[in-house]
Amino acid sequence: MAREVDDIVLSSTLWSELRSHLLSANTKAGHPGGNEQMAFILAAPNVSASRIRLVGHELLRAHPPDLDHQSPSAISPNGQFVATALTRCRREGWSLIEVHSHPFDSASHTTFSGIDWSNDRMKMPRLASMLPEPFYHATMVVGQNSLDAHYYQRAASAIRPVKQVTIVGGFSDDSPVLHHFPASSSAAASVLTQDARHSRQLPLLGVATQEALSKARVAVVGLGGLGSFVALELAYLGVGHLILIDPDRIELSNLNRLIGAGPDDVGRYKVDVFRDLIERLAPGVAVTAVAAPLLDNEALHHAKAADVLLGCVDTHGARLSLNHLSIRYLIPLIDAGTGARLGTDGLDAKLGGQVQVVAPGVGCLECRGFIHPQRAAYDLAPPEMQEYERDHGYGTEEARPSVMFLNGVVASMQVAETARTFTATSASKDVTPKLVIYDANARRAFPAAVSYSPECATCGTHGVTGLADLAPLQAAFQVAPTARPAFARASLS
Amino acid sequence: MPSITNDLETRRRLSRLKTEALLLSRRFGDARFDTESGTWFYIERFPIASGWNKAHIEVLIDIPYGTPGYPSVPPEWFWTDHDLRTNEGQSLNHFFTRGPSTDREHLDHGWGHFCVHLIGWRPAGGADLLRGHSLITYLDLIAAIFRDQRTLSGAR
Repeated sequence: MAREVDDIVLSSTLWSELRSHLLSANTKAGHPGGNEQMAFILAAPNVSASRIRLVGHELLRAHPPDLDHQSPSAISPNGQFVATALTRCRREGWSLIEVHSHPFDSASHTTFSGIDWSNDRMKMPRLASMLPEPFYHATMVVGQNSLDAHYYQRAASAIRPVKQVTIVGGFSDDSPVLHHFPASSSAAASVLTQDARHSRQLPLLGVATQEALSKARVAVVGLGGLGSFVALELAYLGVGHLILIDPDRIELSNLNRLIGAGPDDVGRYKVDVFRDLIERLAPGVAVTAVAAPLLDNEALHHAKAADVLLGCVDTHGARLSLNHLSIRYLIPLIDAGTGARLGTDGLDAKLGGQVQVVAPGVGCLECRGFIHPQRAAYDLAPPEMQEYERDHGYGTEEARPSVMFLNGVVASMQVAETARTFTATSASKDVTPKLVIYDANARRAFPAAVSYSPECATCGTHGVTGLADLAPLQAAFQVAPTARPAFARASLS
Repeated sequence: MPSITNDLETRRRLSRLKTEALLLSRRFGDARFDTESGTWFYIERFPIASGWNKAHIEVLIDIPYGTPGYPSVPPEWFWTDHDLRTNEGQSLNHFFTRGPSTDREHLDHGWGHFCVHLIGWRPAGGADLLRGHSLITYLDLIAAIFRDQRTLSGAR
């Protein structure tokens, strides 16, 4: 059976601009909603084994000169506007999401009109024949209070509903980073089953959050001191599907902090040990275990299918890769780290950590200065280059001190932020701060201000937001560079 | 092992390198780059301060080409003339006559490998390459270290 496009994912910035264009435009006398408006979204697919998501990259607004017809109940673009968008799809590989408004519709179930359906039935197969796979074509209609979306499935030659539209990022510093709008044609009634296992936390989290957690797919990247706590806590919390990613086997020196692991586990892959543990402790949780680094193809394939990424890694290369995965695929990243600096001259050791949220519009680990560029460069270099650098005294680093109680506190903070991410609605006041610092010496945690830079090369206006499968992550060692010609020294040869 | 494909990431890197080459060619004349995969960047006549046995050197910068790669990952290594010496005959610190095994071709052609980091790398966004770090600032760093030949040559 062919996989379905179940989600259209947009950054909050793109969504704000789209909504503003569609619904805040001119108001005609007698038509309080004004004319219909339309826009195209250039999107990139995120295709994984379990799902297909269309990730928005760029908004192309249709203005009056781009239209053949516009009224309060109809709209059609002119040939030039359509041709420009389709040319970019063909040349650059984008998929296309057509969006128009029904400004007159303030119901909770806005859906496509008969004319919309008729148009889509006519043009969707035609476009599919013009633009080869992996081109996807979806249309979306936005009313005042709800929306609907569907797409053309080539395999079935049929128009299928899209389940939801997901908005990722913050509209402001204190707004939620994940918000789902169910598509009217797919909206299913919530089915709450009796859940004795989680009955004691339901009054705290609420039914909606518990249900959201049970449907969530969360990737935990790194199963060290932090990740082991995080994976187990998420399983206890009731997350539906956990994707565990870590290439390492358990060593004796890990046993001071890998909660749940014992001497018999030494030599086993961490992901296997924690998969087994979770299957015993919380058998209702589906677990995918990938014993590979994040930039391995299989690991990426599973990670990009997640609703939320949890960063529990201890290298700057892995952290930078997670940062890019988050921004490129529009998947919120909740990253955590701990640090310990040994005391000198009789002073106490300094212990602490931080938990932070990465998403478009709220900043990323790079523009916040949480990536050490040289260490990231070493971590991401091909193995022979790493060996070469080590031979010359670069890239060597002693094992850092780590202690369980510090990991436990920071991991629990990270899990709490994860739960809040699934709790938050636009009306919620309990929103996720974008950065929380834990000072273990002072025994306190506090939110810290973060700034978003539109000039950031990664999450900024001209960054990599929404490139998804059109610019997939890959390790330098996975590709063979083209030979560098000896052009410069031609005179020497 | 697959080769670097002409994917969007490569096209983005090539577009950036093209802009940087245009800006740098105004200062240094011929500036070229790997137009297929964006894995290197080359200045044929890079002027260096006095005190060396040459007034100009060739500079070939290794561009990090994974994803994430340049500009999130900073350039750190470049190749330059193997026979570069101070006027007193000393060679360079951080300069290696044995490159990684994959780069034999450069050594055979009289290049040496040189490592220098730009501390606090914050890459410029695509809109304005002069606001933030880029190959322009990296080459400024290279120019600066060649002005400090005593440190560079290991002299005390």
